[in-house]
Amino acid sequence: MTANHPPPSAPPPSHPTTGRLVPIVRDAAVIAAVGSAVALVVNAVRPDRFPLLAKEEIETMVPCPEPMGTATAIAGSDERVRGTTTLLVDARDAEEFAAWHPAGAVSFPFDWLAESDEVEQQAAEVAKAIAKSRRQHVVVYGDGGDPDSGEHWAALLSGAGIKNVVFVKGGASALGQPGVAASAGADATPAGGVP
Amino acid sequence: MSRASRCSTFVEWRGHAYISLAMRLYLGWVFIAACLHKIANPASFAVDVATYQFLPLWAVNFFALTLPWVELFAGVLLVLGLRARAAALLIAVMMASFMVALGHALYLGLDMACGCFASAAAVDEDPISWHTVVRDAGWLSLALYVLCLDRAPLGLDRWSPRKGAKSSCVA
Repeated sequence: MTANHPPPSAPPPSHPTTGRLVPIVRDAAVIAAVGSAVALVVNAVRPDRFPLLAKEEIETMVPCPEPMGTATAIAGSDERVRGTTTLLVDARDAEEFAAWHPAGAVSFPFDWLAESDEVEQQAAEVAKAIAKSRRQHVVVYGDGGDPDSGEHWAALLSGAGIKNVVFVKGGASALGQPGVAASAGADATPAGGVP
Repeated sequence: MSRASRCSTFVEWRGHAYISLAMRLYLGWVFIAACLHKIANPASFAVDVATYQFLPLWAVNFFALTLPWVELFAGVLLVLGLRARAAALLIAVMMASFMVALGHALYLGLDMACGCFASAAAVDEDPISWHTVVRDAGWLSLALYVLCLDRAPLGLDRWSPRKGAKSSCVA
């Protein structure tokens, strides 16, 4: 009796890549499993055992992102500082502002510890003040330290969408704080007020 | 010479093992250095993990406990050349995961430390940025090189060949 039916077909070859990758993946899984097991054993025997499951929310100290923009530095002698179309913003604290400030400056103290929503609110107030005063430029000066409150405030104001914001490099001292006749008291402008 | 033949010649080139050895030693050193602080201070590393806001709370501690040990094993095996390609695969998977987590944190605008080598307290020394992602991409490419082209790793793998090890090549 002759066999008329075709010979049985050979089994399909295994996928070339899958076949080669499987042992490596298996080894990787074994390494990960052994590493994890050792971690759990070591943790179980260490005196300050770390709980496997966090029961309470973990407190993280991440500052909220602030909308930082770009602000150009200008010198204290720049004509924009005294310009009639300029709003001069003092970023130092109220006491420093009261002790000395250039004529026409308004106080918007920058608080390093303020929450981002407070900063946004202050930026909105500055924006309002600028709109009221119809000034075209905003020149910010701070304490001139490192970091400089004026530079930081200017960047925040710029990030809040306020145009033409620059800051005085060197801060109040670059505007002549010690030498220039202080105008404290005589024309002091209350915080947030525009002369 | 046909294109397939050229490709095959490139893959078969024995020099890959030597280039790969340098990459393995470097990657192994990076991962061993990265895991030591995390192993010693799991609570601190858990804060770093939580700061990424990527994992659910229940997984944070377990991840913070086990990941550094997996890093240690992968790093040591890479240096020794024992199951080097499997270790490279593990490192590639970890690097890809870290890059996703970093991208997520950068998208959220989080101003935080990488947590790669020290705790979050070192935010000034190692803050996350797109440079961190590029650095991780570099390490990922080294791991992929070892995985794909180091068909006969120099090291203990040569003294302890596994049955059918040759057929375990990806390339």
